[in-house]
Amino acid sequence: MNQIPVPRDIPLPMPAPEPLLVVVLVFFFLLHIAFVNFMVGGALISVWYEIKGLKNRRYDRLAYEVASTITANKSIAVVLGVGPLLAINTLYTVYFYTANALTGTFWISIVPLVVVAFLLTYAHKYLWHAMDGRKGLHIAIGAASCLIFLFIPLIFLANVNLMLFPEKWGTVQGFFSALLLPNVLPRYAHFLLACPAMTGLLMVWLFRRRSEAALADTGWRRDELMRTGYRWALWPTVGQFFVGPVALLTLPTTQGTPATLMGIFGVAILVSIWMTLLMFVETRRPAARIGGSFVSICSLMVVVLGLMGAGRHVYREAAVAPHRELVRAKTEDYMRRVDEANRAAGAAQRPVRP
Amino acid sequence: MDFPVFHLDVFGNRGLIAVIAVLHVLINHGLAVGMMPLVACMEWYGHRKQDPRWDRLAYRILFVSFLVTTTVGALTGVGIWLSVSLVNPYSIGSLIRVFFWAWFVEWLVFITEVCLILAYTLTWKSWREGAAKRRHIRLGFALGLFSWITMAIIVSILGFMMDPGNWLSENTLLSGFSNPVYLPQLAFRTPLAAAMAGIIALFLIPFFVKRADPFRNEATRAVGIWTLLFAPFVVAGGYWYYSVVPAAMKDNLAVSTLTLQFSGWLDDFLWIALATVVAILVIVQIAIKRPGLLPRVATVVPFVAILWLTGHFERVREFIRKPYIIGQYMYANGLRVEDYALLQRDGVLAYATYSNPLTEAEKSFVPASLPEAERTAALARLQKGKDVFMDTCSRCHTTHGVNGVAGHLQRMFGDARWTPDLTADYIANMHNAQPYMPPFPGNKDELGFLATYLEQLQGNKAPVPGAQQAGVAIRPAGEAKLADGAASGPTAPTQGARK
Amino acid sequence: MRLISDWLTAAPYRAVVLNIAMLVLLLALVDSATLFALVGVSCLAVAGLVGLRGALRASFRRAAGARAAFDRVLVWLPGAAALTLGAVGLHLAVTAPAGSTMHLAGIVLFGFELVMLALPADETPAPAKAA
Repeated sequence: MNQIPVPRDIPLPMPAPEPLLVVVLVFFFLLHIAFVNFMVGGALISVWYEIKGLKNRRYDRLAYEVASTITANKSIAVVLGVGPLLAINTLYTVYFYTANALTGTFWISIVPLVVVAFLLTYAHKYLWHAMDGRKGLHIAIGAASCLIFLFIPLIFLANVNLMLFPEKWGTVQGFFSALLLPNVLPRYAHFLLACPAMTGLLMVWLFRRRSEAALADTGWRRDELMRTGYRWALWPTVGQFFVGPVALLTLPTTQGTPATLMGIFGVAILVSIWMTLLMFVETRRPAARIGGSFVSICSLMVVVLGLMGAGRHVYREAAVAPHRELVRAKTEDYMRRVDEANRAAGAAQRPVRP
Repeated sequence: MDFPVFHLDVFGNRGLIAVIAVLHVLINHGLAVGMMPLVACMEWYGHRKQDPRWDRLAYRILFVSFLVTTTVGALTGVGIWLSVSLVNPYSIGSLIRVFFWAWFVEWLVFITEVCLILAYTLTWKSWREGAAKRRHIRLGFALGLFSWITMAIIVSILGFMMDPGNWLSENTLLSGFSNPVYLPQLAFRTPLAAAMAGIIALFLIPFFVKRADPFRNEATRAVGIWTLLFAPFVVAGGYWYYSVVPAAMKDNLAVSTLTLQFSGWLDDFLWIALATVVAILVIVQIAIKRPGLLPRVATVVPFVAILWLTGHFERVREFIRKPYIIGQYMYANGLRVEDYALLQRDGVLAYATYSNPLTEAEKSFVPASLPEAERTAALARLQKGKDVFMDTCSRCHTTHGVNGVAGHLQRMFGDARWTPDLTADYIANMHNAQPYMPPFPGNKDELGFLATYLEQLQGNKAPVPGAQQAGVAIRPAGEAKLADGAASGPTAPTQGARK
Repeated sequence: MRLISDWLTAAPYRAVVLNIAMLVLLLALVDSATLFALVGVSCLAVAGLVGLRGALRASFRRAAGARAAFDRVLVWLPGAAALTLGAVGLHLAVTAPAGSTMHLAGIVLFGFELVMLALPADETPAPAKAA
């Protein structure tokens, strides 16, 4: 017997019109995720190149360049996450807090885990040259931070997934059972591929305008660096054409608007195809013309991200909308009873005003 | 509280918030709000004197602050949010509904602060000369200002929780800002932050400037002066806060015994504050007169004193808010004052969606030798008792851990059997004996159920897992008892979201 | 005897500290609040006047400007703080019941602040300082 819990909500009015809160949620969350992509992708790519750098010094230099970006990106990623957290707490109070409580141990472990990951990335970057003679240990530090960065998204995904399925709230026991609910793992794979892809574009942006003197220090040519960035952007994105549909099709079905959802993601796929083709073309361009499509690619990526965000929101609403009505009704019913009980008990229970 | 109950039965739920929050306060006061202006002043001073040693020292201190604030500092800030959401979602959920825009603005200021500290730290080496240097120094002062603004906003929210002032009647954000404790608290925290930064800087200087270098004494003396400057304001601000609190508390004073207990707490605060300030002043005077004599370890003394002071200050702040979590609106158990008429009539379980499954250890309280029907009934009573405990007591109490109810019962009743006859009456009236306890929100039956659960605790010392480990069960919808005999609320639907 | 006098003359402040410690101990032992008050106030007054003279002289040697303002604070603040705290310590020593924690704390604080007032600052000039 799988009962669906209908808890009561907080009886205070929303602090702002709902569409405004939704815009805050979706828009700032996309910004947050972009920087998280840069952070995780940067960590992964940096360690990858550092390992390659053991044979060829040039790669070590490139690894350092990429690692240097993490310092800023990680702090921006964390601070940008606060706004969406605020918005989701406001809009989906019942859902979000319930999921938090049911995965509480791991939810709160985000704090020490991220602290350790950040400290490791600082050690990795600032001791780079000092640890030149101990590359093994240095790479291990980088790898450790990567492992943590790879684990933490699972905690978030388990939460935002569990929150949408009240019928599961009575059945999960702890984090791992929430993690194995559909469709956390396909979504995780989708997120994972996005990290090097976004970081690739970051690399192109990083190197396309750098001065010749600074580039000479790295031991790479500008077009080499840009092509490398484009390759990081291209191949994971190609992978997304397999992982993305899997994530889409494994979404638990909901009442309501599959047509809208398919429409949004359909357009996103078309735009992505165009964007991927441009990326491919860029990787084939000679040094003189490489980077010509960068602005177009970025614009298309923004469109794709926007569509993803919108589609995500449409799905979220479809999943919880019927239940929200029930919660609203339950809350109103509860408040009616509270008023009735207070009337019956007289003014005694009302707070005394001085 | 109508959420699955996250519960830490050994450490206690309050402890989770306390550790994260106090760590965050120490870092944001000592390394952000207080330290950024100090570093900016050092940079400015070095620039005016054309003395690169000040610049070097300032950068090193900034770097340490940068490392700590962007890791532990930032994450404990988010951590307060995460932990409060776990421990008392009704309170934080309610506060967000009122203070959404305050937190939104606070967030925008945080973004600015992060960008500024990134810029300030990462451009130090490149913006070295002339106009670039002057710009860099201005950046430092801007960073100091923004850090202070974030503190100014969050202190208002904290003050609101203690005394909503006019919020109950006016329900506006602005009325929360004008509550009576706001300015005194800010007047206390600001110089405290500056003094903390001074102490930390005194601790760091020996790491960055060698003993043989005469600059070490000069720097120690200057930072000592900085701390000395702010110390009297810590006393003044602390005294102002001390004097305002009783007036703010008077609406909460249920019984005169609270006054006695509470004034003891408050006086402790004042003496600890004075002792801390004196400790700081003594160390700082040595730093100024005989900087060479100041061993690194000496600065640990005022730092520990400040830790003690901060911990006690936060404790006083929390204490005087009890039994409320939001003054006069919501009790610490997450239930609103307004809800009590209904809940004390119908019971909390009538409106509780979730149930916390009994553990094997708990079930063993009911003898297996009982006939089936009796055993089932006894287990059902015990189950209800557990649910009442988890819903109405567990936010502040554990079973056998920190602030454990077993400990309190042991203290009051010793080894006598904790039967419902013994305990139920006490629980019904404990909010009169202990004014920081909220009244029991359930009805008479539930008092009995709870007492049965407490009786079981006497023998069963195993910790109780929370929803984060054991999950929850969904209560059957038909438990609501209404005076008018009407049907209970919406039953669990079978249509709607899929299985 | 030789050893003691060698030790005392090794650093000038040692004799000062010893003198003050003996004075304060004597006052505490005599256990007369009036005497303590009289002697204590006189000490603070003398120290205060000496400090004032030194500070005024030092102030007039400085240049103008914000940096100089800080230097001026460096000159005045420690003495002012020591005087204030010394007065607080004296007040506690005189008014608190004999033998209580406050009384003891007051005596110690008064003694410490007197030492602070009596010692000259550690004025080792820093090298390579552009004017």
